Amino acid sequence: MNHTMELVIGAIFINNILLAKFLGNCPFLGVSKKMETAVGMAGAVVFVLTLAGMITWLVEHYLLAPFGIEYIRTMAFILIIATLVQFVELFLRKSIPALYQALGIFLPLITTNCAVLGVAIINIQEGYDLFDAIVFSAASAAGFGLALVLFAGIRERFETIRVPKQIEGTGIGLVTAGLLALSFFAFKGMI
Amino acid sequence: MKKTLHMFVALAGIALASGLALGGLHQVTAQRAADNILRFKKVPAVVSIYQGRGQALAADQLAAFEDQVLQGRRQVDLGEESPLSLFLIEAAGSSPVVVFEAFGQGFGGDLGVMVGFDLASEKLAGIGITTMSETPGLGTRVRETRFTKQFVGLGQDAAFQVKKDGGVIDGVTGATVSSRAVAQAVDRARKLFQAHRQAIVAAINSGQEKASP
Amino acid sequence: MSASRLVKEFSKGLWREIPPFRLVLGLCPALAVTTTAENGLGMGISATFVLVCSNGLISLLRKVIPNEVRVACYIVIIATFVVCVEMITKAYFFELSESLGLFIPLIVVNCIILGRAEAFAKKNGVLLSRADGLGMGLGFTLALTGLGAIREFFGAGTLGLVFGEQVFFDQPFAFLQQAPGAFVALGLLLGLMNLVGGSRGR
Repeated sequence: MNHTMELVIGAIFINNILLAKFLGNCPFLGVSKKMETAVGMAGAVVFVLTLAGMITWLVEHYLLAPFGIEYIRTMAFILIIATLVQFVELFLRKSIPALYQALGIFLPLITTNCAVLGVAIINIQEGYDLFDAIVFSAASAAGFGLALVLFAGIRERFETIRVPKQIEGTGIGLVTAGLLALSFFAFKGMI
Repeated sequence: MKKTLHMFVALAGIALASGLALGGLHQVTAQRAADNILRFKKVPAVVSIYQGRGQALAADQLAAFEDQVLQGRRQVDLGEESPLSLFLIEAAGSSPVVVFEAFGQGFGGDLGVMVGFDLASEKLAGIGITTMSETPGLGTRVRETRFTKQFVGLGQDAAFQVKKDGGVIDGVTGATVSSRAVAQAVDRARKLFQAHRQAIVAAINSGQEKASP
Repeated sequence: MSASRLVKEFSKGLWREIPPFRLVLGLCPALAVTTTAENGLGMGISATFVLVCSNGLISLLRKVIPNEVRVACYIVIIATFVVCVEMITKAYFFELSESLGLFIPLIVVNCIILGRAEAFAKKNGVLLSRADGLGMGLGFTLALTGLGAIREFFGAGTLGLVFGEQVFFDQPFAFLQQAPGAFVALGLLLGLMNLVGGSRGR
């Protein structure tokens, strides 16, 4: 239990996937201008990342490893993630239209979100078992969501303040992300 | 119908070509990649054991020595998940040392330790840390010679535990967990050596056969 | 197809559309591996290799690949080259593969590469697509090496790529080596680029 707690807190606060490991920065800067879109993206990532973490773990241990073809892991995982995203989109559209309305437009963007592939590979490299892999994937996704929503909250205020023209938009966004990452440093002593 | 066929053929063709290309490249590079992991991660720990025995090694001899260690490795199947790699240190004027890797539970995951046993006296010839993910500046200090040299010369029946747990090892201040992990790894290596002494010695004496990857 | 067109497609990646500054794509590796100039250069070259190869092949096959499954085909092609890079670095550039680690397989989801396939290679000839890929790749390499050099020089006090072991400061501004420093440095550099670019009347 203790180990699981460590894994969760570590993935959300200490090694936050966005702010400490730099995975998934493209959507981080892309969809954080409005709170609504940030929440939608965060939800979609939590959903897909947890599912992808589980499926890629199963594929690695029951398909790639027995045949000794771990070297095509990158290829296998990206295809799984791309397919998974398509299926999730189809499934949501048919069965849970309300959720599809909320997350739908973000789903295609997730294929190229390196947080998903990154976490899938980390699961394998760290030698997690299936339970740990699912916990770590979900916690990483939660960390992604937390950082994204916090960041969107800060960024909405940029609408009303005056920023030097040269660093408008992405520039000031990056500097703000740096300060947010700095504040996450405070969690370092927790474990 | 024709369209579906076209889609299928195009995708399958690309996937097939890609699979063939990657399989071919894998054949060419796999051995080198496996050697690299040994050379850059495992062999340096073996070298540090050698140097810890008072053997000087000039910079220009290092590469040759590493090659010698790498070429001289043997494998022994002890019924574990994968065969154990054995490294051999031979130096003029001292008895041969067999070195293999064992793991302990560290602060940030497994901590790997290369443990060397003197084949004549069966005493510990030295240890070298291979992989760790300990806290920088604290746990990583178990790499320092000040800590590792304590193990040199200990007998098979010594208590491989930190003093806090009733053993003979002075733990690194502020890094009890990491020190414990090293002691645990050494203890595991000792037990493995005792249980499989004959198989290990037989593998070492099995001549110049090159170990399979 | 004239030579000037070729030069134009090549050179746009070096300044006018240089990633990740002008085209805000490929941020993850730009932030993660730029702790030293050497790592930045290694990452840039790896990405350039994949970009040139995949752009060339996708352009070559653009009439064969059915439109409906084109993204799947692009991903397979790109992933193939990424796995090649992975295997080659592991076998011949082991230290680089250790320091870049996770970010070599992640080239596959680098938006620049899929982006160039979709925006350029599927509509243009092989030679033009290669020029486009090479330009974008070199621009990306330049940006990463520059950012790496700044973070290494001020953050660690060294510049291993040029000066080897030489240390310039005893007490460097270590913030730049850490994660927050990466964001701030990239943000300010972007501002600087806009300042210079702006004065040229973009």
